[in-house]
Amino acid sequence: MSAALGVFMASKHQVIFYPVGHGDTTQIVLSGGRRVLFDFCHKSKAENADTPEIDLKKKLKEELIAAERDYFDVVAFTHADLDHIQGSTDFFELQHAKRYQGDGRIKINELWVPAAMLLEVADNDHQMEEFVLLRQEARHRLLEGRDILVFSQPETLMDWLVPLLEARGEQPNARDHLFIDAGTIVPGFTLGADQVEFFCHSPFIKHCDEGDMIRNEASLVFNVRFQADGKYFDYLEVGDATWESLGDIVSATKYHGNDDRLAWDLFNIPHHCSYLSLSDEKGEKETVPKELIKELLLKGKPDAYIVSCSPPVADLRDAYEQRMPPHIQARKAYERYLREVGGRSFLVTMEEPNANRPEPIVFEVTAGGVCWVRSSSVGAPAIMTSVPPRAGRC
Amino acid sequence: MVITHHSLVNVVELSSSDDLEIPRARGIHRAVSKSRDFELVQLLRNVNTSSGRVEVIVAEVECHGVPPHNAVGINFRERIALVVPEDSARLVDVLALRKDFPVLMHQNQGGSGEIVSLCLYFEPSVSVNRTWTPENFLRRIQWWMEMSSKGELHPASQPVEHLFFASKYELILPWNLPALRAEASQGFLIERTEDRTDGGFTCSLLPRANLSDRGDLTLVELILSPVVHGFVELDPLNLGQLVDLFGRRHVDLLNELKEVLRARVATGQGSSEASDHKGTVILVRTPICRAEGEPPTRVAHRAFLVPKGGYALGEALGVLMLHEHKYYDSIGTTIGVDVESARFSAWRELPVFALDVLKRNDGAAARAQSGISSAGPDGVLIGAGSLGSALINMWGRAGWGHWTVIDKDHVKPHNLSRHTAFDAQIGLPKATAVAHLHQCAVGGASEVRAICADATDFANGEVRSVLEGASLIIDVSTTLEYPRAASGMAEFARHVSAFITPGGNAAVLLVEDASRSLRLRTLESQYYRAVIQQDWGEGHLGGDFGSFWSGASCRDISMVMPYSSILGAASTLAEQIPRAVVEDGAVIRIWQRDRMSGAVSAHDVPAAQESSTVLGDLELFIDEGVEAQLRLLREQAFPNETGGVLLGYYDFNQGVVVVVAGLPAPPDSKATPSSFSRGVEGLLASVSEASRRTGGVVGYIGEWHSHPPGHSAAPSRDDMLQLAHLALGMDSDGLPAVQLIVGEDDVRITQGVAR
Repeated sequence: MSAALGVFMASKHQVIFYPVGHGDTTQIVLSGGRRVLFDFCHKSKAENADTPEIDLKKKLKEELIAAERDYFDVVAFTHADLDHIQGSTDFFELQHAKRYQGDGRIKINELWVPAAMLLEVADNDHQMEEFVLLRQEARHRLLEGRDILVFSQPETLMDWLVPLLEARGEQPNARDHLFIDAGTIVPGFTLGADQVEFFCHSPFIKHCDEGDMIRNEASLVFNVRFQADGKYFDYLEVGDATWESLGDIVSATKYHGNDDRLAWDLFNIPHHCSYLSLSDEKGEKETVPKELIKELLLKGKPDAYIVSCSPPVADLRDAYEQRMPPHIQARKAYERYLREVGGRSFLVTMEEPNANRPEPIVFEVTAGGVCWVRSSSVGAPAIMTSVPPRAGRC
Repeated sequence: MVITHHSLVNVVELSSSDDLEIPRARGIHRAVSKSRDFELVQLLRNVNTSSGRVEVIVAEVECHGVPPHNAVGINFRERIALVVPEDSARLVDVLALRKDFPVLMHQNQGGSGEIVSLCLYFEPSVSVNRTWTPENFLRRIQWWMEMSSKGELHPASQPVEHLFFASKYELILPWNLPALRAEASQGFLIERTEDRTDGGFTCSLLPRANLSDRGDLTLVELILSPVVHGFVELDPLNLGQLVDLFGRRHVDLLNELKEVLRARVATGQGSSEASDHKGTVILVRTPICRAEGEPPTRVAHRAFLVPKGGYALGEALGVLMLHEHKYYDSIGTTIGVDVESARFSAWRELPVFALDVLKRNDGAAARAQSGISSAGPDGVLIGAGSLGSALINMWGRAGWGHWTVIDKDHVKPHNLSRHTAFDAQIGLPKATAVAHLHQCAVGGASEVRAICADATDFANGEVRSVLEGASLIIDVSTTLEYPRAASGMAEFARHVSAFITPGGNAAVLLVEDASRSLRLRTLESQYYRAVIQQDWGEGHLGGDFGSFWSGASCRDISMVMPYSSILGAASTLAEQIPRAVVEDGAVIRIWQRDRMSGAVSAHDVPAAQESSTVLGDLELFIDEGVEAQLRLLREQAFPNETGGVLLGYYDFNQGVVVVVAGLPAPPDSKATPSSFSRGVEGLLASVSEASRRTGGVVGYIGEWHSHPPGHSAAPSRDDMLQLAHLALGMDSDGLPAVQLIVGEDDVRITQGVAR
């Protein structure tokens, strides 16, 4: 309509990475206004102004108020590890029980979870753990048959679901439309209407049916393809994934001739810059990625960015001995390949614009490409937006 | 893709930053070292320091705001040279070193050979230096890259080629060049001003009145084939570069120049050396089109000055020869000249100076600069006095309206303290004087027509036809005569009347509605009612009865009012009138100024509809505002009757009586449900005050009273007796008496005349 009137509004999508410490929270704000949140990590200590981690609940609420909304169109939990769901059950409205409703809770119009999240088991001591509450929520929505998409359809889940459906007098396949397989486009978003589509890389069904369920291997991985005024850009959104499962994704995607889904203008690297997402060997100075992972890294396009959702990854002597991610050796490897493809920068959520008071990293996706919108908090504005050290005589 | 860079010449590399000696260079080096977006490549210093030391910091800058796929061709990472002169008054030059860095607007052109220099700032260097730090300088470079890459570097609406020009020389084009080209049979010439103190000068392209006019500089005009919008080129430094530049556009400038220069010399007898000009202006016209193959939408002009007259230039180019102080065509006269010899290629080194090409304003340009979107009315201004001359000056310069000015006075010496006229115009009709001044201000881009006549003389054919043909008539005559007379003329266009009060502290604006159902006559009387009844009316006219709207004010030599007061009010009116006339409604608005603080308050008076009734020889006008007030008083007095004095004024020139307001009943009045006897307490003072506030215009014209609930306004026997009494009383003033009765649904107005 507006185009017909000669009024042309250029598309501008945003991808936002929140500095939540050792954890993940990213958000896509589409040009048309729809909002998709990936993971949620709010540590209660972040509410203290002295900690570098962002007060995520406060920040997201401010943003929603500014957008005059009390909901997200989609909230996707890539997997149920604490650093991807922490604080979510008292921030979001849960449909399965009254006590998690109202009181300013944010609504989730559609919940995206890997099937593994519905199969979580917990003993009696852990029934109130957040992953259990989210499992209950996902099961409730699936059973009710709305406001949810479940990624992969393992037999074990169907073994649970089918008897319950029969008890409700429904067919065993009555919920099949809510299951999404890897290698397909997620329904609900199209390049035409929303200027975006989500191509599901993972989880593979075999992860759950072949023996022990390993959460990281079953995490959600998407190729998010943006359209901006006729130009296309790719965002590779990975929860936590080991080099083995990433390798599986690369070979499966190539096998199906979907190589273009591996390319990236923006790459949210897995597992807080862990070397285990590149190889089983950390390397002394630099991790050498496995062949298939190397292939994925070389799929970066010129001017691409990599983001690590993690604490600062410093190039200090001690860092090379560190057991827990982030690993400096992994960063070195990512940076090597980013240079090789003519990419721009490797960014770390807890480093921007500085490690003392990081701010969300914001990318704009326009016809011109993917651009990092730099924080204006430099010099006087940075001082004015933070609390300076105490002054006074004693 | 291999990226290659320019390398700077005549420089040596410094081994360490400790070798930097210029404080600004050290500061920039420090800022580059601590910035994550800049990476140091090299430090350099110039070899030849005779014109001052220069240190250079070569660095790579990364700009995340540069879109990867920008159409301009700026990269995420660019190599730049920061050229720091020792003289701290000069700005640090920023050179883009990548060989295929795009040629853009906002680059300083020329002076640096092929290397592009970024134009980071829009202010003169002294303003930039006031707040310059190495850190904000680096951020400015990134800002420039990012804005340029997005095509968003548009700091001003004026053409950028003018904005960044540092030329001391200007060429001014006429406002109506295309029309002149069609008309001017004798072609054009160039006139120039005297040199300014910096050696710069301004020249003007003017149509040649006759062939003997030679102008001050030789003019060579060239027309290029159309180019697509957005084409920008660096300025040439010498004639050789200029010829090469045109060669790239498939124009043989050299031959064109030669032909024009040859043709200028008189055949046979030659042209004298003394008659040669001191310089030649090469004016290049380039039609610009939006896209390839489309018709041109405008013509861009560029001009170059060669500091050699046309004959001398012709000699330098080998087409003319000098013999005994006369120039002759050399073709066919010189045998065996080797045109490729050193002498005949020396012309390449002749310096060329770019001229800043400006255009005289036309109405549209003036309006754009004034922020006015409408071209304004085909208007008539009644009165070219103090206020009128100020308004026509402002509107004329702003390009608002196309004006005819009617005034019957001429300029007298004492007028000059409050008029735009000049001493030399004493004795000229004021209308003619302001028309001349308009001509001086806009150079013929528009004209003001002057009519020296009495605007109220509707029998004057010229006056009448102008008034009937206009789309808007603005009365600033400071008399009552014109606005009241024009109110009776149905065939005239919408009127506006504006005046300044005698104290100079208030401006009054009366605007008729577009359909003229509310004319100046009723707006005037409603303005008086507001003056009488509103608090601001107390000192509004300053009690200066004698000169108010008498028409004598400005003719009175003894009148004291600073021109600043006139201009303050005129400025308000000059902005407010165009704003008021785009709306259809009527306006009564007063701006009152506090003389001590200069604060201005605006007062709006809602305009009410008027109606009229014929009373004998006179026509009586009354507006709904009067009626509404009287009805309110009537209802407040229920169940009793009430009444009081009726205020208004007569104008026998126009044959009208106008009701302004009714006063409330004096406190000693006696009222019953079936009778009213008006008292006298304070009445004289009230009427005097109304008269004082209106400069003596408004006074007693009769009486009003109400009839009780359920009764019409039909006069009773008592009412008839009262009217007879009033008529006898008013007869002493030679005036009739007016009686107004307010009934349940009607108003009855009767007139009593003693015979």
